[in-house]
Amino acid sequence: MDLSIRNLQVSVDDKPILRGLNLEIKQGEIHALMGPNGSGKSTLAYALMGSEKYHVDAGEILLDGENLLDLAVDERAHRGLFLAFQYPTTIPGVTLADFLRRSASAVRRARNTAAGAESQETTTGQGMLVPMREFRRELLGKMKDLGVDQAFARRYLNEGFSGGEKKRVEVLQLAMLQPKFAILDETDSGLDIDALRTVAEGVNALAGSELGVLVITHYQRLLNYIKPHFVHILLDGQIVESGGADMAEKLEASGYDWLREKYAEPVA
Amino acid sequence: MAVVTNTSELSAEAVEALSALKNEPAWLRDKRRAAWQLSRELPMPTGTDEAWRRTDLRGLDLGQYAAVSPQVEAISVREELPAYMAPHLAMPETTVGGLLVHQDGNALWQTFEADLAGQGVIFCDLDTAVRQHADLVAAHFMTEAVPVNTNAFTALHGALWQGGVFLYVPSGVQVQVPLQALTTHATASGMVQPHLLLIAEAQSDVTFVDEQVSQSSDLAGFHNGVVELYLKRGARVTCLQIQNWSRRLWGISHQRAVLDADSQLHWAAAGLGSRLHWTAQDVWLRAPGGNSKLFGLTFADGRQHLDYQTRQDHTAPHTESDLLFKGVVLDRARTVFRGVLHLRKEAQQTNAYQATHSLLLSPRARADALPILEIEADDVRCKHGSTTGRVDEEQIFYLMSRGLSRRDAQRLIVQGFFETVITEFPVEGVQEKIRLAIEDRI
Ligand SMILES: Nc1ncnc2c1ncn2[C@@H]1O[C@H](COP(=O)(O)OP(=O)(O)O)[C@@H](O)[C@H]1O
Ligand SMILES: [Mg+2]
Repeated sequence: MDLSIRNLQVSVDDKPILRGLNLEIKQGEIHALMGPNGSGKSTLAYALMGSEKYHVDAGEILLDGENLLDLAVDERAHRGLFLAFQYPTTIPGVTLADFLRRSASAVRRARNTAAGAESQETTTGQGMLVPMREFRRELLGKMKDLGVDQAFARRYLNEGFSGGEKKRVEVLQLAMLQPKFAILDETDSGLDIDALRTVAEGVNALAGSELGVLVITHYQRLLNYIKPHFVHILLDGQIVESGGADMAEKLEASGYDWLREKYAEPVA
Repeated sequence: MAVVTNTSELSAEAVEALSALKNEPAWLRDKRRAAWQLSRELPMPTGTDEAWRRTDLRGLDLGQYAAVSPQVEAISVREELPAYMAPHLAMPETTVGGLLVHQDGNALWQTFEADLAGQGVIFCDLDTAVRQHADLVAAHFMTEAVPVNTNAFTALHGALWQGGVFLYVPSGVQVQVPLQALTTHATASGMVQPHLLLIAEAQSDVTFVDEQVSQSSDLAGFHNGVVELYLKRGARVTCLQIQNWSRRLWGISHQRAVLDADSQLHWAAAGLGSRLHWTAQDVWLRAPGGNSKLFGLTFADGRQHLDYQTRQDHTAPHTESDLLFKGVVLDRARTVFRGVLHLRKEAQQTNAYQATHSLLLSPRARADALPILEIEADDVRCKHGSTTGRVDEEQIFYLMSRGLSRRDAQRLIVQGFFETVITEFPVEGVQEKIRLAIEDRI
């Protein structure tokens, strides 16, 4: 299983943002993507997930050989892709529990279908939703692990949540949906150190051999808790350097300026 | 079956025949006659009237509807109720203290807890109330809340109303369980003119649930209903309504609540049915301490036209009113919300609020929201706001990224949009009814 991104070129409102990006993530690997504000990190995240605002001009995104570019957003989720948003949206009137039960059911149903018709019978039988009791038990267990107050289950999705609460809830969704590849877009921002630790533990627990992770971050801080196998540096829509975990430390020490100088485009 | 006779035409004879058929007392017959006379004299509302400007009544031909529905005997056991009523009678998780069922203006069936009757609560059809509680009816029926001479439609109602609910709660009596009414329309091209008269005496407390449906969703008809709520000093009334008439019915509703000192009204109405429906929903806060909360939920699709005209009329100091309306519009449907906040000179130290939100789900759907402030007092707090928008693509993207199809995402967003107003129908069974009715249509 791998996620492979080849020569990806993406524009927003006709403005080119990603300019030929290559990246290969195998299941079980943790990759960190770092880069200054505006370098295109979130653009990559949105393009991978399939947002219509982000137009893919060229290149390929393959998940285990299948071209994701042909698939709608929900189908990408069914195949096992997950995005923890930098700025999660509020959905008024929809409780976290109701939403998660529906999405967990949709994702599991799709995966069971893909795995073969027999297993579909057993899980979807009636109502098409994960049985309430089973779901509640699972949800409350994961909320506890991630330090999310149980009262949040009945709150409207992200409504009135603090920045840190939203991020924890993104990771809670990750834990519930059990994807194969997860993109964490600045999940560390807005978290205090305790929250950061809990969230990182949550991600580490999932990472194991099952999950491939792309950790997008602006700071090195998170990488003290989630140890990446590879670190990539994005500058003006291209990965300019790739290396091991030590790369992040080097960045922390010297900032992005030396990179900007090194890769500055000649003044036109 | 409606047989075409002279009583089925709109005429003075029909009024006489109806009153005679019901063996009504002279005062009521005279009231019908006077109303009939008025209905001939008052002009039909037209587009030059601000409240009627956005609803085109030119396609309404009253002559094509039978003015009087044939009399039908009440049934003797519940099992004899027509099958189409079953889903509407069901209120999951809810115990009611009484049920009153009308079809085409005839009271068909009723239950009522003996201990409520024992406490002096009256819950019966309006014909029975006219016979047994004439003074109460005469004092309140189309007098202060919705006067007969409001316009040609109220006059027509006064002349030919048929079938109605009478609910009276004596002073200090707290009715702990909701009372439920189901009013239906089952005759093609029938005229349905039901009346609701609710009187809550001082310090009483009651919850009333009112649902209006047609036997089938393509039954033609005309509805001209009146709702009158009287809240005496310190009374607390929760009134929950579901309008779900046939998609070929044209409807006009005049609804008004009169609030005395320190009374509290919680009034929530769901508008789901009708081809076209114009509703006036007014509260009159006429004594200090009155507090009114109005909630509305509308769902319009196809070519439906739902027009709500609300008025929060404050004529006394220290009164408070709040209003929240939420509407979803699909296809080529249209909703109108025109809400007047009227704070008279005497209404000092008054708070009045209003918020309306519309969600348009298709390019040709339309929602008009018009808040109107008429403020004559100077020491008041007033606030109004309205939003009209489409489903947020960012929300759709978020939900789809969690595996929901676009349809399911949209459905969930619409449900969420409504949820904050559905919770203002504080009876579990009613909430379920509304959720199901909407879910079926998205
Ligand atoms: N939805 C959008 N609309 C307009 N411009 C956008 C949008 N998303 C990103 N951009 C532009 O693309 C560039 C990269 O942004 P982004 O991917 O958010 O960077 P990062 O996440 O690395 O901070 C910026 O110039 C930003 O202004
Ligand atoms: Mg970003």
